[in-house]
Amino acid sequence: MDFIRSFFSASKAHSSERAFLLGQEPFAIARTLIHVFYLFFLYYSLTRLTAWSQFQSFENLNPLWPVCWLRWVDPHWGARFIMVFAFLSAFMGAFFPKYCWVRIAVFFGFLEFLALKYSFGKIGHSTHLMLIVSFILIFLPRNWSEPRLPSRATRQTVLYVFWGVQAFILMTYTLAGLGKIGGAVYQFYLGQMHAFHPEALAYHIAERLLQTGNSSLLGAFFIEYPWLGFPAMLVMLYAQVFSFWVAFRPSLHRLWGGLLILFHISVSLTLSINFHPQVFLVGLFFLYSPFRRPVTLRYICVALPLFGFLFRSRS
Amino acid sequence: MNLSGFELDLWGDFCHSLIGLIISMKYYQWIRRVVPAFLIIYCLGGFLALLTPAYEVFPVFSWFLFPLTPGDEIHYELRVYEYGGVTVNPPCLYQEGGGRFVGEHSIELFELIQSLGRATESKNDLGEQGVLLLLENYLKAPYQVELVNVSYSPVERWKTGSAKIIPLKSFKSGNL
Repeated sequence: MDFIRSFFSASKAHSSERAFLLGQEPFAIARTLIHVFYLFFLYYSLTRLTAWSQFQSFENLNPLWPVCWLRWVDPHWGARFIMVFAFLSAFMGAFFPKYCWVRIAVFFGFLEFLALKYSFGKIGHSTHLMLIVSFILIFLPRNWSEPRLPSRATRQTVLYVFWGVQAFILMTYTLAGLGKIGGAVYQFYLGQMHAFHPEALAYHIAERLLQTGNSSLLGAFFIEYPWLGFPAMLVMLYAQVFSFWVAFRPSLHRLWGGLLILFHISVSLTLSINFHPQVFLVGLFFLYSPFRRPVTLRYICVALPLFGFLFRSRS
Repeated sequence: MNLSGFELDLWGDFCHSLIGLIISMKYYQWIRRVVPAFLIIYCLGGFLALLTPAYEVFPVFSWFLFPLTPGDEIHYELRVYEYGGVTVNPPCLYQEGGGRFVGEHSIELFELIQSLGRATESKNDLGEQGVLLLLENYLKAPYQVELVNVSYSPVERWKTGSAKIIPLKSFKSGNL
């Protein structure tokens, strides 16, 4: 573990390990943010209740494994049961996240809901993070939510679980970035259009809008002037690829939170692909990260993956 | 040694705290192993899931979103001749229905049409019927649609509308 930590950290001073030692304040922030996460779950489940009519109008489904039991019951009644169970568990989660069984119910309810939602031919990914985060939070220790200050070991466990959530979120972005790099190398080798071509963004936007017959606020503009979007695309690719490094560099949490939120906003405005719940999650877990500290701009620059060495003083 | 009730309570509290501390420390040690293990297992699971036909096993996913940049594309689309008993004249592509068809801007529908195209071209009748069943969530009977193969360059098609369209097969409601 020490090897992994030192590989991803900019230096000992930037390591998340130091942030763990800060004690009670990060714990209090982490505890509050976890409560907010469960409150958001309730909000999201409430907004998803409108999917009710959609499930009722659909006649045929190809159930994913978590809802395979729908094959043997009336799917409309099964869908109603899932909707009610998911909503009630989210409701309980907002009020009683301190109980492990409630957190398990929240995860299980959402798993069933998403499995139902994606049983009509395509699996979407905008809410996967919410599901996996709710799974990781099952492992919070007993007494984590009590008003009196828990033991140091409990506080450290909460912070470690919280860090696990952050690391998972960032890992998904790094995987997405590495997929794009791998794809670009492959396409470059074949002599095709690739991610580092100045017009790549225009091709992505045009293809997506043609697939759905949709339009977007800025899509047409960037198809017309692709070179204007190219630098932003490179910055976003950099932010994606090196996201996992940020899990070990708390001074970058706020910056990366902002970058990833901008990434989702730009994707929404151009490709018309909406990852709205993910914007909230990134904001919650990084803009208000309990491990962040007031640092100077230079300190942030030094911690930047790949380019940080440019800002280090030689003395 | 005789202990008073109050001293016994204190001793009990101390033992309880000590056991609680040991348990919470053990749990902390356990969590320190479990969290990284989960990240690694999920990551490996995502890679392994690429070997499955759907490239993922919900909710395990490689997160390789848009790994390839579109170039010269070949896709399947549906051309609609009749929808809900109303003749569509002139026939149009499903996603260009202008609000007449259910879910015409849905990416789920687009993916279903790709599955239908693959099943049709590989003459997989069973697969074709399975996808058609799911497609009927969108297609309002009586309907008549035509599966077409469309090849194009995205930016050029977006600007000029030019695409090469080859009809593949017609589908009518009641054929299942």
